[in-house]
Amino acid sequence: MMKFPGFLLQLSVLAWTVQTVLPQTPPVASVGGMVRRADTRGPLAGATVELRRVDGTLPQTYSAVSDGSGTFALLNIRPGEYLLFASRNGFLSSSFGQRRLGGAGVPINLGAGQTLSDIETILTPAGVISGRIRDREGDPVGAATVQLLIPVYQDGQRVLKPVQTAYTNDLGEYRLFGLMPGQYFLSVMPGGTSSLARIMAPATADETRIFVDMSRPLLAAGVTYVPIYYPGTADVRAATSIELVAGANQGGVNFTAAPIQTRHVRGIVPGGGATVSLVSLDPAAANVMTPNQTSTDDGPFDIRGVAPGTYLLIGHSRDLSGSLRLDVRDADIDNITLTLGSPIIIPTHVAFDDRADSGNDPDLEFLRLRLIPDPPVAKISGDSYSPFPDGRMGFEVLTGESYRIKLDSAFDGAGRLRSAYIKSIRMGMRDVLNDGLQFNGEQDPKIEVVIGMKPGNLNGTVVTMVKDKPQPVVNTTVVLVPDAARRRRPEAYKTATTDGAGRFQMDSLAPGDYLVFAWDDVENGAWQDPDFLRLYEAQGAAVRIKDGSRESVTVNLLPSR
Amino acid sequence: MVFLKTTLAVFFLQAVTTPPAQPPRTASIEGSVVGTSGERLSKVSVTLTLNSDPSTPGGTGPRPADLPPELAQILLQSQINLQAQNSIATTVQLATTDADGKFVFDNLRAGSYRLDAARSGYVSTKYGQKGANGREMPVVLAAGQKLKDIQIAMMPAGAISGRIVDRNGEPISRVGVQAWRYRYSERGRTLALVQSVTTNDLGEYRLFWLAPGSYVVSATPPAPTLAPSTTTTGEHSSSPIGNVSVVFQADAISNALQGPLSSPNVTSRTLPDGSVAEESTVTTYYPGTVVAEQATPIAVRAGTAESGINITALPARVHKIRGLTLDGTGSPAAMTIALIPKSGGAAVGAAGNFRSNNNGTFEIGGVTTGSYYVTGVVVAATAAPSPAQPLPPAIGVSEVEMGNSDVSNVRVAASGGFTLRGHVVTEGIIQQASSSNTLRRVSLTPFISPMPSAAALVESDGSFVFQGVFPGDYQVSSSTAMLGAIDANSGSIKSVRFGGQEVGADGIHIRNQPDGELTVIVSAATGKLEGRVLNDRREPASNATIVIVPEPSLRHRPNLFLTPRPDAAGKFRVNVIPGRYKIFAWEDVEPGAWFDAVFMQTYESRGVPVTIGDGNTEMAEITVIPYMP
Repeated sequence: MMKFPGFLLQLSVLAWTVQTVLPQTPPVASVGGMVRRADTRGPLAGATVELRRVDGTLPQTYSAVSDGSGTFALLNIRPGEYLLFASRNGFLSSSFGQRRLGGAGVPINLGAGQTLSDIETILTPAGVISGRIRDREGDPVGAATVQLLIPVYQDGQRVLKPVQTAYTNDLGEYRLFGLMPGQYFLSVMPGGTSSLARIMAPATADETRIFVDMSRPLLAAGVTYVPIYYPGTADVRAATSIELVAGANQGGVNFTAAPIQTRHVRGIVPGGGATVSLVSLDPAAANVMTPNQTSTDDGPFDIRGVAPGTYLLIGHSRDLSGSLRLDVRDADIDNITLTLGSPIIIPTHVAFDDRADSGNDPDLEFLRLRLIPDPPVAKISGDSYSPFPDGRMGFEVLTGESYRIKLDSAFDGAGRLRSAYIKSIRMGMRDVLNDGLQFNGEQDPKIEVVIGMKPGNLNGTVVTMVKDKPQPVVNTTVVLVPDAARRRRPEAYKTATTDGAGRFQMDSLAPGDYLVFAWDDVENGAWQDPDFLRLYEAQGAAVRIKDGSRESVTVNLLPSR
Repeated sequence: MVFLKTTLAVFFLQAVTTPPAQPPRTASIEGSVVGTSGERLSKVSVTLTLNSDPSTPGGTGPRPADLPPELAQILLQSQINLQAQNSIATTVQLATTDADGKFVFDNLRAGSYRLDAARSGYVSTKYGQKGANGREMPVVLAAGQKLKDIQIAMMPAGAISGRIVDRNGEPISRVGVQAWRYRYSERGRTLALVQSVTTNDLGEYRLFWLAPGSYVVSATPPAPTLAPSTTTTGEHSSSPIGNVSVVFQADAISNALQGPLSSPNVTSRTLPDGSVAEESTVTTYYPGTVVAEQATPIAVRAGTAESGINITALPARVHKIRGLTLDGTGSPAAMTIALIPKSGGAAVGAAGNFRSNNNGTFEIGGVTTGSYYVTGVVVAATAAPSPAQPLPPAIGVSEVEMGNSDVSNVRVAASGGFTLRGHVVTEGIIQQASSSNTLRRVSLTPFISPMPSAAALVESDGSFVFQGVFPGDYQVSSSTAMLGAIDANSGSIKSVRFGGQEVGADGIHIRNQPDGELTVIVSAATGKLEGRVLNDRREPASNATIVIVPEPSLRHRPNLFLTPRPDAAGKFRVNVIPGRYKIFAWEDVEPGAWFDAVFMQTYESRGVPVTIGDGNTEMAEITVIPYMP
C-alpha cells in the first residue's frame, strides 16, 4: 500500500531530471581588453568590468577586475546582447560606446564562440565636493540634508534640479562624490523630512517623538527652516555655483544654515467666508514646504510662519476665487485686499481640422485640454476640460490671470486619436496657443480650438566630417527646435537619439518650421535657453513639416563649446 | 450652461477648527537643561505634553489647532503614522533653551504634564528619567501654580566610525552601514536596527548620535548597479532588514515572476584561473562575520567616538536550489514559490516570489548558506471554489539546508497539511459567557510571518481541529486575546499543553503529523495585586518599571509576566492569574530584559515574593532598584 505512491513519485522526479540534463552546454563567447584612465591615458588596475545582458532574456551579469596592466578578460559568456560597463571607486562609471560622460552605451552582440579581445574602456576621475555645515553659533549641524543641484530647463523655466543627496554627520561634515565635471549648486536643509526615515529608524512607537525631535530640532514660533543655498542665502537667485573640473576635489565648501525669521501675511477678503492659502512659486522650496493655509469667516486673515520668497496667494469661497502674487522679504505684509471674483466662462468651440463640423462627433469627447497657470505654479496642475460631441466647451478663467492651454491626452481606447495635436487656438485675432490666454473684460469673448490629425514626421542622419568625409554619428541626441513663435511651449520641442547607423526618426510633429540640431555634448534642456540657442541658431538644419508630410534631413554634429 | 470639467491635484488642507472655550491658563513651569558635568545646555528643544487634564473628563488633550504652526507643519510633513501623529498632537507647548540653558512654559492650566528634552548630539531625555531606559516622572501642576527649578540632565551621545574596504583593501563607496542593538523579548535577544548610513568614496562611514550602550555594526555593499541611468538615483543600498513578503493569496500569484529565475544580485565573477564563481553581496558584521550572533559588539560611551571600526566586505559564494513543484494529485504543476530563511530575516541574494514552470521545475539562484523553507502555492487555473467542490490542497512546504554546493531534487508537493486536534478545558465557572468573550476560536500563528497559519473554531464540547497545519514553529493564540489575557468575565488561558508538555516561549514545533493533542486550559480564577513603589528615600517612584515575574518553573510563559504602570503616587493595581510571583521595580531597565535568565540572576534577591489566590487581593510595597551610572 505504501509503496505505490512512492513509486509514482520516483517516476516524476526521474522525468524531471532527464529534462534538466537535456539542454546541451552552448558554445560560449569571451570579451577582453584594457581599462585606461582618461587623464594620463595610462592603464588602470582594479576596475570592475561588467557585462550585463540586455536582450530581454535571463538577467545575467559577468564581471572581472582589471589587473596590474589594466587588462581584463571575461570568459565563458553565453551568447547574447550585452552592455559593457567599467567602474572603479573614484572614477565615473563608463558604458562602452557612450558619447559623453554618463551617456548611454551601445550594446555588444556576442555570437557563439566569438572572442572580442581589443575592447578599450576609458575611465574619467570623478570629482568631490565636501565641507561642513554650521549654525549661527558655529556649532555643527548634524543630519542635515545637503543637495547637489544642476541647472536644467523644465517647462521652459531654468530651475535647479537635485542630482545627489548627502547627509551631514554629527560634526556637520558632508561629502558629495562621484561627480561629473560641470557647474553645481548646493543647498542644505537642516533635518529635512526625507532623511527622517533613512537616518534614524525608531525602534518603538514611543521613540517616534524623539525621532522627530532628533532629526529636525523643533523651533519656537516665529522662525522656520528653509533650504539655504551656498554660500549662505535663502534666495535661490543669489546662489553661487561651483565649477568642477574632471577629478577635482573641492574641499572646504562650508556654509551656515540657520533657521530664518518668518513673516505674517495679513489682509482681508471682502465678503469673508473664504479659505486663503499661500503657495510658494519657488520650485525648490515648494517641494519641502507645506503651503500655509487659513480661513476667514468675516474677512480678515493672518497667515503666519511665512518664509521669504515669492508666493501665490489664493482665495476660495464657494464659486468665487481670486489670487495675487506676493514677494515676501524681510517684513510682514499687511493690508492685502484679496478680491474674489466669479470666474468667467469663455465659450469655446473645438473642432477637428480635417473633419466637417457635423455637430455630433463623439471623438471630441476623448480630448482632454488642460488650462495651466502661466508661469506654472508648483503643485497646481490646472484644470482639465473635455468638449461635448458638438464641440462646445468653456474655459473657466479669472480676469487678468494668464494661462496656457495644452492637449493632455486624446485616448479613445483604440488609438485612433493618437496623432491628435493642437493646430491652433484663437481668441479673436489673438494666437492663444503660442502667446497664452488672458481675459481682460473683452466683449463676447470666444475661443476656437482646432485639433489637427495629420502630423508630419521626420527622419534623418547625423554626420560629422572625418578627413572631409561625412561619417554617421551613433548614439547622439537630436533636438527639434520650433520656430520663434512657438519657443515658449515646452511641448513643441522634440528629441531623439541616433541608432547604430546614425539615423533617427521623429513622429507626430505638428506642422510648422523647425531647426534640427545635434550637439556632441549638451546639457539636457539647454536648447530651451534662448541665450544658449542664439549661439547656434544659424547652424541648425531648417526643415518645414507640412500636413502629413515625411521629411528627411542630414544634420551636422555641432562640437561642444 | 453646463461644461465638463475635472479639477485635478489642487491640494487643500482640512479647514482649521476653532478650539472650544478653555479653562484659565495661569500656571507656569520654569527650568533648565544641563549636561553631565552640570554645564548649561542651550538650543535644547523642550516639549511639554499634557498627560491628563482635570478640567476635561477623560483627559483629552488640546486639538491640533492649538499646536504652534511649526510643529503642526512638521507633523504634516513627516511620514509618521496617524496614531503617532495623534499622540504628538496632544503636545501643548514647545520651548528652546536660551544661552543659560533655561526654558519657560507660561499660560498653563492645571494638569499632569510630561517634559521631553532633545538636542543634537545628546540623548533625548524625559524629565525624571534615570538611565537610558528609565521612565519619566510627571510634572503635576495645580491651577495657578508657578513651578520653578525643574532640571533635566542630558547625556552626550556617542559615535562609531570606520572604513569599509574590499578584498584588495580598496575603499567601497555607497555601502550601507548599520548600527544594531540587542533588544530583549519573550523569545530571547533580537537585533533591532538603530541607524543606517552610507559610506563615502573613501569608504568612510560615521554612525552618530548614538545613546551610550553596546552596538553591533554591519556593512551591506550595494547590489552591483553600474548602469549610468541608475547610479544617479542608486545612492541608497537596500536595507538588509527588508521583509520577505509572501502572501498566500491569489493576487500574489498573478504578480509572480515568470521562472526559473536567478536573483539579479548574483554576479558571475571570472576568476584569474578562468573559472566562474557565482557571488552575491551579503551583510558582514564587525569584525568580519556573516553571522550576526558572532559579531563583536562595540561599547559606545557617552560623548566619545569609537573610531577605526573597519570591515572588509567580501561577497559570499552563492548556490542554486532546483526542484519540482507538484499539485495535490502529485502531478507537476506551476507554483508561486518563496524562499524563506528559518532565521526569520530576509533571504540573502534571493528573496521573495518565484514561479516554477508549467512542468513544475524551478531554479532559485543566489542562495547563501543556511536553513530555509521553500513554500509553494499552486497557480490555480480553476474557477472559484464551490461548496460542492472545494479546492484541492494548494500549499506545499519543504525544508532545505543550503551548504557549499547546489541543492537539487527539492520537492514542493501541495498537500492538505497535517491535522492537529485539541480541546478547551474550563476550570471554575465563567461568570458571563457572552459569545464575544468566551474562547470561540483558536489560532496557530507561525513565528516566521510569511509561513501559513491555521485557525479552528471551538465546538460546544470544547473540542477543535486544525486542518492544514504545515511544518513550522507556531504560537498558540485565541480569538479573545493572546495567550494569557486576564478577564474575570471570560476567564483567562491558564495553560496550553501539547502532547502532555507545557508549551513554552518557543511555541510548538510541527515537523510531521503530530501524535499529541493540544489542550487549552481556561481558568475562571483571578486574583488582584495592589502595590506601591518607593525609592530609597521613601518617595513615590512614579518613574519605576514594575515587573511581576512568575515563579522560575513558569518563566518560559511570557503571558504570566505583568508590567503595570505606577501612577504619580507610585501606586498600581493589576489582575493576576493565581500563583506565586516576585515583584521587581527598576529605575533603569532595558525593555524585556526580565525574560532573560542571565539578567534575572543578578536581581533575583531584589524581588518581593507574593502569592496570589483565587478571588483574593494581595498588597505589596516595593523599593525601586536604583539606576547605577
